[in-house]
Amino acid sequence: MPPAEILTKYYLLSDHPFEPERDTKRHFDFKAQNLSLMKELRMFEHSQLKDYFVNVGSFNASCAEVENFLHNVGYNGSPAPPAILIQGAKGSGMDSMAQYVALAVRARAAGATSYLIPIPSASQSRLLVLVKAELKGFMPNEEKIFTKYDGLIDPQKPDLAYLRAMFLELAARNIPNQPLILLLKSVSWDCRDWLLSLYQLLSPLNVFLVFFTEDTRVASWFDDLVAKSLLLGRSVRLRGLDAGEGRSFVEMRLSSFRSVSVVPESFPFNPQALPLIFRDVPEQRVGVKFFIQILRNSLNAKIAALEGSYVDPPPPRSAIQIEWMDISDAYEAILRKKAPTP
Amino acid sequence: MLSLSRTIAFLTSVGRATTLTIVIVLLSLDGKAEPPKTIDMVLTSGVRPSEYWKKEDSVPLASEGAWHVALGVLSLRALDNCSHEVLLSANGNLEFFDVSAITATSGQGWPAKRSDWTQIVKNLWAAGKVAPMKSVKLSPGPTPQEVGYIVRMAEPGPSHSSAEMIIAIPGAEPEMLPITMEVSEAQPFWRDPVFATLFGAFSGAAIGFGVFVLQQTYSRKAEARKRFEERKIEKATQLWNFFQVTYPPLVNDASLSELERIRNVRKTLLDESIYPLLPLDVANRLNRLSDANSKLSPHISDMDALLRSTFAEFMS
Repeated sequence: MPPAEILTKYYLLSDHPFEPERDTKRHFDFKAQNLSLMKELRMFEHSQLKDYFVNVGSFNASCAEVENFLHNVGYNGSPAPPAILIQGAKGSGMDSMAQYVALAVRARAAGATSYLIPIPSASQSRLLVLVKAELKGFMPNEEKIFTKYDGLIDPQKPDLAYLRAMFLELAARNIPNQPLILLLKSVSWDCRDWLLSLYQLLSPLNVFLVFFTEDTRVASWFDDLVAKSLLLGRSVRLRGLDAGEGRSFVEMRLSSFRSVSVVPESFPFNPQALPLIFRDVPEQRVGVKFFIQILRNSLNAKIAALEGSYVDPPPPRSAIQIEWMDISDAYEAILRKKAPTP
Repeated sequence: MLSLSRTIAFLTSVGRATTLTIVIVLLSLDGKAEPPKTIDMVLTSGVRPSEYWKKEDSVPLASEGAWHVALGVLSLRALDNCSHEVLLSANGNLEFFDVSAITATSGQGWPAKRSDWTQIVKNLWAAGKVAPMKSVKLSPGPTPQEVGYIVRMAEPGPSHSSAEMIIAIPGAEPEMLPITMEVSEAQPFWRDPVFATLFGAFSGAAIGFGVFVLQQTYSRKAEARKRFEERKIEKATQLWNFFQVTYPPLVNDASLSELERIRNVRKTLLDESIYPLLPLDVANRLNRLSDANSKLSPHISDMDALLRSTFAEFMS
């Protein structure tokens, strides 16, 4: 029996909840768009993905904080935008959260564009060279200024003074009325001073900065800058999911692929087995990425087992056929790897 | 000797019998004649010259208080073929009894077990079988005559006593046998001279070592403190920047637990190369705070007080 049939026939799922090809309910084709729910949700490009962004735990609080903050500062895409800092451990969903922030900005500034810039090294001038490249597209009318500084700034050994001068000169020009969202990934403690200097350089150019950091100290530093009114912004902190949040996550994700309600909602994941994932890990919390991997692997392992045993399918029943998931093997297999935890 | 030669010359001249002459000569010797000695006539054995007793072992004797008592039996045998009357007496606390009286009073023979001595002495005493002087008839022959004796010393009293047993045959020079008795008092182990010597040696060594260690510790601490003060001055700018700029955001972040904030401060001290400056005791206490179990909930104020005690001038 093919896996798709097992999912529909025995689990009442329209598709794989973690690696779907198509969501018939929402008419969204993941395969055609080359998207996966196992990776970051690229909501800025595909706003339909927002439906799969499960607001539980710290995500829920962070989303509310971002929305409230943008509302309170009256942000409408005008120049001198604020900055957002997202702090979390690896695998805690920072990328998806940044996409949510970008989407929230675009909701207030429809013409916003977004780019991800990985911070290449501990050299601020090299980062600014990358920013300069994005600004060329953002401010196409200032070609003269960019050309002037192209001759002065050596991309191999960029001079910070020239870069600063260029940004200051650009700030004096006509600034686009729609923001450029730059996702800077990620700021280390040694580069904490960049938070303010980048904000001071780029905010006047209508660049909405979204900083990533794994270090809680950087978030403390950012909040201190905000408290001293040196920077207009807000930090959000992502934590791993606890057992309750994990169960909610499973239920919400599965419900996205079900047309009828099922009790328990986490079916086919055994509600008693789910808390095992959160046992014996720091603070009893698991990063969302790791959690999804466990669920995906468990479900796939179960489907693979059923695929072999259900060569001759039993006669269908009117009621749901209970096939509880035993996730222990897959869970153990993943645990043997070093798990990213918050 | 001059008188003896004149007498012999006189008797020879008058022609008397030789035997009679010798007797007269013996009786008319110049000076004093030597009396026979008891020791030459009687063989005495079995007397122990020394008795030792423990302080706690004493026998209460009716109307005479408590005594340390030793029992013994001496054997007397005639050395010649004559019968003798031997008189036994003593100087000091030494008394005599018939060995047969032991059987009569206590129902057991001699030798008796040392543990039974107390009862034997009590019984002899109660039966009046003990006397300070005793007369013994010695018959010729190999069989010895046995006489029991008791040596005793008052408790409480001196720890050492001596007595003399006098064995005399009438007309003969008496034989004196000294008997000493010692009561050894159990001493506490610390009064043992070996122990006292060793204890003194070890105590001296320990005190010396302790003083040495204290001196070394003090010197090391003083040296470390001096070095710390010097390095603190060298890095004053860095320290000022840390405590004035970096430290406040780390400790004031209410989004984090106090333990997380303490750990962040330690991590930053390490990143900023300030941690190696810390005196060892301060570093240890900081580590104890940082590595504490979250359930113990260490307080940020503890860490702040700790750092303030060391870097007060930079934290004002």
